[in-house]
Amino acid sequence: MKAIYALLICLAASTRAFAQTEIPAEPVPSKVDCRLCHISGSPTKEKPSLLQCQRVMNKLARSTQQAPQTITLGTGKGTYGQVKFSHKAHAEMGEMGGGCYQCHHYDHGGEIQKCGNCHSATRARSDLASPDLKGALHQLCVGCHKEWGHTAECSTCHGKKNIPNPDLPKKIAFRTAYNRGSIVTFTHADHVKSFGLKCARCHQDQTCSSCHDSGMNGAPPRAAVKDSDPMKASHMACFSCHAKDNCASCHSGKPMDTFNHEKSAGWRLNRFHNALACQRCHTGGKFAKLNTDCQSCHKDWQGKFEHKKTGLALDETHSGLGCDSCHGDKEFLAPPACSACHDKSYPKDKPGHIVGKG
Amino acid sequence: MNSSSGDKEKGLTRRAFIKNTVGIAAGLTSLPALAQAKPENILSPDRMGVLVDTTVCIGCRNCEWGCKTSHGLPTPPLETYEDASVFEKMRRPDDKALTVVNSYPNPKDPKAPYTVKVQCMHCDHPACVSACIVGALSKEESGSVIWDTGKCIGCRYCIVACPFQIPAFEYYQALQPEIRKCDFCSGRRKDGKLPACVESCPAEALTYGPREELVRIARNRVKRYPQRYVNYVYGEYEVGGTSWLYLAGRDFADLQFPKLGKNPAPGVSESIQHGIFAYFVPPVALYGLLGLLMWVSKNNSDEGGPK
Repeated sequence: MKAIYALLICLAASTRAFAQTEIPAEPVPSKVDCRLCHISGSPTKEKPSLLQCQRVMNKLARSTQQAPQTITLGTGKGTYGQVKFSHKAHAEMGEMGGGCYQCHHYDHGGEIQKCGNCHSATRARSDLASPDLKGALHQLCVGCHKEWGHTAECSTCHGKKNIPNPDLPKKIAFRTAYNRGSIVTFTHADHVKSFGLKCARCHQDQTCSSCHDSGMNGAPPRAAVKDSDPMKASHMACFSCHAKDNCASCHSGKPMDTFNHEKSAGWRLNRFHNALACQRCHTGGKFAKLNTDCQSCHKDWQGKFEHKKTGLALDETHSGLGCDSCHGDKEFLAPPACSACHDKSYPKDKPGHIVGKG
Repeated sequence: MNSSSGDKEKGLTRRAFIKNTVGIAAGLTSLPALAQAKPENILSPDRMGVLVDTTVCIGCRNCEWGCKTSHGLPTPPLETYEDASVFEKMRRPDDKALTVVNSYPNPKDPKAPYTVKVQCMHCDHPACVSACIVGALSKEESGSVIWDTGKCIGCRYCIVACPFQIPAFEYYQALQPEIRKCDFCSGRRKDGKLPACVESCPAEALTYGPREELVRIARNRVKRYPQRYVNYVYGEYEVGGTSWLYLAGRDFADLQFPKLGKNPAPGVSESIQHGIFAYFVPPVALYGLLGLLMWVSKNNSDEGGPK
């Protein structure tokens, strides 16, 4: 009988021990120290023993790729309407400053926490240590908006007012101390658009007003030639790409023109090609001369291309023709004139006559 | 108040009158309610307050609008409050605006000036209550310092007594002008609502809660962000403590907060006012001295004075 009791006690003890060592469903990522938020090292669901929220800045790397495009803030029940918050645009701008955790300050490594998960929806509440949702949102937004906008106008966010994008510089000429070519021309627009560089690639530790407050709100326009930053800082930003270039590639006696594809490569980019980032055609980081034959890039167009999307549906007579029958000299942008093939009686006297070259 | 003719009719001598007067005065000293003019301590430990974080305030002045709307004061539409030109000159609360917001430069960040809301501080030991000679003003258990218009006689002693220069008077009213000041939304709070300014603040620069907890929160914020705040909670000890507390990013003197001691403001005025009448000893002593002088001089004239 005693042996059975002892066995039962052992069994009960072991199940208890196993219950405590049960692996949690969602393992806590090891990047975050538990004691950042919990007073004791072994918190339980019933007794989380949380520290008072210290607005901890967990600097976990987050990608802006999955960030929602826009989110709607507020209930719309107050005096002002809801706010359509351009979340992704702010997330991308945030990469130049403090990153996601500027706003998502409580990041335990799992799913990103929504503001309303912690901040109370009602102002009359018992836990006053952190602001309510309305207060938290305004405290986050207004600080920066007031800094560069110089006002606390409600309509900036609550109305349909569009905040203009900052006027990005096309090119900036920097005056340097280098005696063999003191001017360095930086083609800002090309680096952003053609080379497809993300702002955060070069701009770090920026505040909102460093872009938004220049050239806007009556601030003086940018100088044509600026004094450059100390050598090390400015070179580091460029060297990550221009490692193999020599000094003269950038340093010159006078401001340089922006890159002109026709002038440098002898091939004018049409408006579609001009909109592409360089790497779309010049793959592999090499900017060697490419074959200008259309089909060297547009390999699998046949069967996919619908001519009627250009505004002209081809009848069976025309659909049998090759592209260059009508579009000579690889000129696909300007619509070919009918008279290049047909005489002036066309289209009155269908089918007309084919004149000129076949 | 007895007339001298009445005395004569009843055949009272001067000496008897003085004796009676002294007797009545001595009798009055046994009435503790009269001697104890200082209001009894009604401060509840969970009395409410508001913490104003001037570093969070964005200067939108929605609190001014909310206050006027809830108190039935005339106000232009809310959109006009975005006009920042009002900050060009300092304003004080008055009978038409019970709270105002002023702007002060921020040396740390010139682009983001500090804005400071001003209203009645709702002292724990209010000088106005002490100074009011008809007992129209009172400190409620909930923290509000309120007044009874029916009792007010318009003496304006409260205006003089207030260390923060808050009570205002309807000078433009020819008939029955009233004292006006922030009432800490006493009525709204009894209905379970938040004070109007606290409710209308978009950034929750105004935190409403039990005063003791607000002091804790304020100290915690200073501890967490020492660069953001000066290490001081204005109102924690000023004139014995106030229901409204302030945090600031620069010295409070630069934000036109009066530099006040820790002792309650009524302490000085009451010690003089009440000292004069304390337990009726001074008046009794004065009348006793006068009576003695008269008695002595009468005896002198009876004995050998020239006729």
